[in-house]
Amino acid sequence: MIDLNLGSYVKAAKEYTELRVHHNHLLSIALLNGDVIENSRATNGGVSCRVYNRGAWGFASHPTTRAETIRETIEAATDNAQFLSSRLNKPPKSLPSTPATSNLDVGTKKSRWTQNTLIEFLKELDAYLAKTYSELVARKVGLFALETRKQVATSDGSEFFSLVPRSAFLISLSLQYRGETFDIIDLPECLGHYEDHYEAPWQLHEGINTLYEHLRHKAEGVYPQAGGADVVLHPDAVGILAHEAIGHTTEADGVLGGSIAKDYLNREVASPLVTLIDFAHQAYGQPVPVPVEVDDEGTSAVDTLIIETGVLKNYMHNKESASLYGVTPTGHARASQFSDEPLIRMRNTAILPGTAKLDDLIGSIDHGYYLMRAGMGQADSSSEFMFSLEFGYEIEHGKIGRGLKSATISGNAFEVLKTVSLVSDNFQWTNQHGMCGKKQLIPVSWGGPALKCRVTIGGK
Amino acid sequence: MTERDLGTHALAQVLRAGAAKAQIQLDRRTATEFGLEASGLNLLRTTVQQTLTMKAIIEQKQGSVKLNQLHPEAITAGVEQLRAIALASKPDTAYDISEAQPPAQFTRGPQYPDKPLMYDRITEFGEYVRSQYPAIVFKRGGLEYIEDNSFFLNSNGVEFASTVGFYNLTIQFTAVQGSQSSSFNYSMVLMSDLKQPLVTIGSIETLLGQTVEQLTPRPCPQSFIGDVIITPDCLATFSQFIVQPYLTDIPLISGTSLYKNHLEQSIASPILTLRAEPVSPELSYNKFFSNDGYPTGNCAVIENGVLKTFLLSRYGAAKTGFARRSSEGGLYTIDSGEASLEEMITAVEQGILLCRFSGSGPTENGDFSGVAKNSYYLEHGKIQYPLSETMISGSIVDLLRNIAQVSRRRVNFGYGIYPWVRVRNIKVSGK
Repeated sequence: MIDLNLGSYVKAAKEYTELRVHHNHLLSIALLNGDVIENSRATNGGVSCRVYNRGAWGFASHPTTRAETIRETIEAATDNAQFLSSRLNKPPKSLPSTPATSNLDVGTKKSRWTQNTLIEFLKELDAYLAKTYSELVARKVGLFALETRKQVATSDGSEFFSLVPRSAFLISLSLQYRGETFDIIDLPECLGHYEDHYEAPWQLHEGINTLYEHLRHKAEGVYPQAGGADVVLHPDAVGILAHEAIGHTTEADGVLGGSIAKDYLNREVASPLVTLIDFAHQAYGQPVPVPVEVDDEGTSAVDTLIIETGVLKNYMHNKESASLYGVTPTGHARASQFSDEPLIRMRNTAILPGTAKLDDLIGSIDHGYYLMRAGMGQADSSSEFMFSLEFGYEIEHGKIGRGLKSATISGNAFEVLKTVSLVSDNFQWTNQHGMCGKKQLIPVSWGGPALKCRVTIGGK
Repeated sequence: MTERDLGTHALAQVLRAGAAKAQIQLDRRTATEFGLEASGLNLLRTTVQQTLTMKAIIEQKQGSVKLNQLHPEAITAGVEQLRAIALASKPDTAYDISEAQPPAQFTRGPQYPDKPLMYDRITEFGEYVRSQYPAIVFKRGGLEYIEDNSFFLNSNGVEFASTVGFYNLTIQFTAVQGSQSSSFNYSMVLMSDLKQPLVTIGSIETLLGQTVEQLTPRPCPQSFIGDVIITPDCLATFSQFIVQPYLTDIPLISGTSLYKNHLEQSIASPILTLRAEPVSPELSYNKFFSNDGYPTGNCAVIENGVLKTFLLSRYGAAKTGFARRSSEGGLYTIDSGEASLEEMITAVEQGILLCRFSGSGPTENGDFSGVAKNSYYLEHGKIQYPLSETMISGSIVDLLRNIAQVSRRRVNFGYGIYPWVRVRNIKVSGK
């Protein structure tokens, strides 16, 4: 609901002006071996303003949102833009204008759980772990919930409100095996408040039991052989490949900053089996994990087709880069905190499903690996990527074999995608807590089918 | 209202709400930033941020709340929330606050931004790079002035205040020539003043030159076990790898730390001394008191290869029985050695010069693996060529023991001071 008349502050602005009131509420609770080591709530919010003056941006922010500080913040941003533009002396330039309005509220309509209820929930979960898996040397359970509330108005007529909460449980298990310690982490996340998805701790038991099995296989497993390998990537790993390896190289600020994708538009960069989209707010008739209807520049957010049957079709833009490329922006500008300026960000990046069955993908590999869950990943302007492996398995003669201990996966993204030879017909979004760090840490999501391809594995 | 007035008011409210013990910390950050993108300088940003962190212990249960709205109604609501959060927790005898100590005030660095000089320095930097390294394209970056004001108060009468001003240059860049693009590279340096041109700070000029050389990398010729010379830029990453997963609260409380039984034992080569130096005058940023209300101090974490201390908070010390340490970590330095970089390279029969490491932190077992970025292949005592698609893997335990040489020369980044370090017996693998 829009309850501040932000549009009235900017409608008479001489230069293009964005005004944003933005609050993040964060809940963090964590238990380590039964002790409460984290029990906190944090609120961070305020007003910010960004002004565009002849190719220069001025930005200012303040934590209070009284009328007087809103006006002072606009004035400070205007002064900053003027300070810079008077020195840079660039020719005037206009930005594309696609005004949009939206009112997106994904918050729960149920009564909110108290802190007491949440801690009891986690204590019960911890007790289940302690009783069922008493051989664990360490166990950690937690809940992290981020609620982002934004109101934005721009001088070219956009105005929107969004309330988007996300909630993630943390389950971390450590096991000793033959004198070595192995750990595994699960961060099941959902769009919305936890009250809309959970009623009782037992709903997480099945996931915990599966996680424990993966940990046992990891501890009793083997190190992969370092070097090139044929692999099947689980949708979670496919998603991180889409985000890190392709997504970051096709964000327009990265392209302008020297990404190798700068020369690849309308060229074949992947197998024709690969189509990659960054979804805005819906996919396959359902809300996506990080819905954006209007971005922080007031641009209407629509899906961006990045790769179509192997051909690179589009970059991801903000208003300024879209103006440079002569295209329409599709709503990729987002800011993490009220004191941050909007940057080009991905939203829900996914490779589309194909027609093969997962069993056929696995059955087609004589000696290789099934890489199931990715840890952190990083991208490079050369399109070389890496991600750590949380857990995976050998594939021997077309069948799942021993678990894998730690490993790192790397490759050149566009070369890896050219080796894609099979794409499964299932699709899933990662259910893991997705955050992207690029000057600012922000929620994102990724997903896909399973893929068969060739990557480089680093390991003992 | 001064910080002291606000802090005292908030603390009094928390105690009235039933806290047996309480602490508050008020942090204010003001920042001025000139931002860079590929097109050049394009953003001037001024921000004000404030956070009031309140912690309460009620019936030996603990909770904390962070607010950034500081008007009386917001603080009252925050205190009510804090009481509910604390009471919802579990009792733990380890929850406590710092004991009474003399009050202290600390000040460091410039107290206001020199905006015109900031503009001149970042413009000069951009022009220098364009003329000397025309292949370099900036992806993102900026020169920022930051002033951090912190005020700490607890119900035992502890009172600390600090004001730290510093400049922060962060740049991310790539070399581009025709259709070739190098790996991106980056640097972050903190400075107490802008007396020097920015390109002379830290290792920036070295990185610019290396990034241009990295336009034509080649894969590793084969997989091998060899020497890795870790550069100062990369050693900052490895210092975190040594400390964070093994010597801090969580791994020690959980009992999973590899080094939980190794205090005063040799865990590294005797030529390694790693220090945590939060109040070093050589660094451009200092942290004068910890988040749990103790003045910090410099300490040797590993001295001549011997593990001298863990870096535990008051809570971590209470849970483990080990001593609390006067540093929260970060702000590390490694002592100089005796070798020159040239001697270290000459000593390598087969290996790599590791300039940047792209990988996640080591596992609980100490295993690490990742991509060697912006790095070089070394053979027969010489730098042969820049590398692509090369990974390294090993164990932190072995890495520490296999340090063979430490350089005399070090690089000061403002948040850390690091030499070059040669390590033997690391696995290097290619495609």
